[in-house]
Amino acid sequence: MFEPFEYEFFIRGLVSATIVGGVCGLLGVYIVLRGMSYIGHGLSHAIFGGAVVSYVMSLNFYVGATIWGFLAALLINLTTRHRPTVGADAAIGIVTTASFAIGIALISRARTFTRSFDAALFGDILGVGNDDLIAIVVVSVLVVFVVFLSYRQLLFTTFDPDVARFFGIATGWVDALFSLALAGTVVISMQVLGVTMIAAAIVIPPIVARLATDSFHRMVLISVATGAAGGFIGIYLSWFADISSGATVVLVDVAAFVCVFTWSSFRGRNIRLGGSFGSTHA
Amino acid sequence: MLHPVPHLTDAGGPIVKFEDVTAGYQNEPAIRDVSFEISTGDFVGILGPSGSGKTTILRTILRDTRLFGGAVHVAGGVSPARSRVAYVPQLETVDWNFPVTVEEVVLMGVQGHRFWPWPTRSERARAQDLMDRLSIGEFAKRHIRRLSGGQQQRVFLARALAHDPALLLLDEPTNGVDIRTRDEILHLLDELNHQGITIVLTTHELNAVAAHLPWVICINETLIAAGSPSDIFTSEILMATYGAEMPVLEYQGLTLVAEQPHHFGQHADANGEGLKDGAHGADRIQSTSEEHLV
Repeated sequence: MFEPFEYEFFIRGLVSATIVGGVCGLLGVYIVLRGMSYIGHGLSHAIFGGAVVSYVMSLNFYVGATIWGFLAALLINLTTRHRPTVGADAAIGIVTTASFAIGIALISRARTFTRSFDAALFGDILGVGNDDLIAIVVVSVLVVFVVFLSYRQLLFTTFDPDVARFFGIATGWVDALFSLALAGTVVISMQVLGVTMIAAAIVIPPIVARLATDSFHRMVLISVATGAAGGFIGIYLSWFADISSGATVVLVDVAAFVCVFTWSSFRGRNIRLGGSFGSTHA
Repeated sequence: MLHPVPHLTDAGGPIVKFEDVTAGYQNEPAIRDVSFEISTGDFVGILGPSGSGKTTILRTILRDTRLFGGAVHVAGGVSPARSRVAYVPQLETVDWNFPVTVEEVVLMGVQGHRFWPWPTRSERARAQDLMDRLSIGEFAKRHIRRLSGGQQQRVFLARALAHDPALLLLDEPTNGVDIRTRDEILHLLDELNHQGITIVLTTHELNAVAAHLPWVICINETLIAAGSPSDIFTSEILMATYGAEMPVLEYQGLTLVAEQPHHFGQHADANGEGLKDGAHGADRIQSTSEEHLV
């Protein structure tokens, strides 16, 4: 039962997955409530383009990919806020696929891109080195710090972006800061979860939390706990089941969702997520 | 009639002043050449049909529209936050599935500038005090969806009051609520007005305005008229505002507006004879006053 803990690489992977799961759960709350659940999936593809650009320009992967992801997230936010007719889903689709296409175009031109596609797509927990772990810890601390300091502004901006401005909140800055935190989170999640699995880690924990509570601050706490637990349990189980770490983490999250969904159905809670669904006056 | 003195004195000077304002969104003005003043301590209703520019006036006060011409003066400065202007949105725009309790919504207005996620003890006490004043204190931990329409309106009113406003703007606060709740909301606003808060609201409820508000602005892209309901509610002004014939009655000291009966599929009586039959003895006023038409 404690055998895997004898290996340093396993402990590194376990710590990384737990931290990444928690941070994805934290930012996922705001993403789900903004009705932008697809952004995690889209951004991870967009950042793939940034990774290629970083490689071609000989930039540090974390720096280049984060800046690229930040610009993509910012573009999506600006389009959604200022051109509501485009819609969040369409903006995500356009910006992220364009970014992904740029990456593919550059690869086909350079033909010397040597990073592992499998690791980028499905995650490679065994490949998490000390440098990666340090990057994960540093980015996670910064993300938590940003969310902690702008908790109220983020809440008001997410709940009522139009009105928040009238109460003196710089919603543009709040959105920009959030986009930066999201880009950093997706970048550090790629190694652990892979491009294809990040979306689930961002979306499932907040939905589990939403089904469990009607209070925002409790939703944040439950989502972080669910994400972190999913990361920890998923990596631990993947050792014994000998299956992909990213997939195991996501399957654990899905199991949590199924349990809470069933429980909430028996309790009669019926909640729709993401965007306004009109007045439901009692 | 709740307010004893319509359009209070100018003791504090105008809190809002529009001078030939043309404003709107993107490349299209929604209001044109609008001029009026709102005095400190006023309780003003903005009337007009859908799409007439009522909400645009509120958003222009909040500097949230594109100004094509003219000048807007709001006492206290340019920034709505600094000038102590608070805004209550239409309930239809609220996401009722968002996971927030009554207390969490009210605390949003207490102050969003301080960099600390948890409210202080004094902020909580202030929020509780506001909720108690608005009779929603017992629902503090309840989700906003699980309230009646009137209680929901009070939640957003409490959030606005937490901002400590001198000027309170409300976008159709009586929309979609029953008559009793509508009167409760208007009585509550009247109380707040008596406590010194200048109130401006948009509404479609002509008769509720007549019963509660001392000052009315009628708009239909341009300013049609401004004055007390008894002066403003004339068939001519209402025709100019709504583009429909709206007979005016006087009943127990109140000026009321009746809907013209429609006879679909037949030739309607253009003189509103049907109204006379249904007026049950109320004196009909054929107001010819045009002095308030702008």
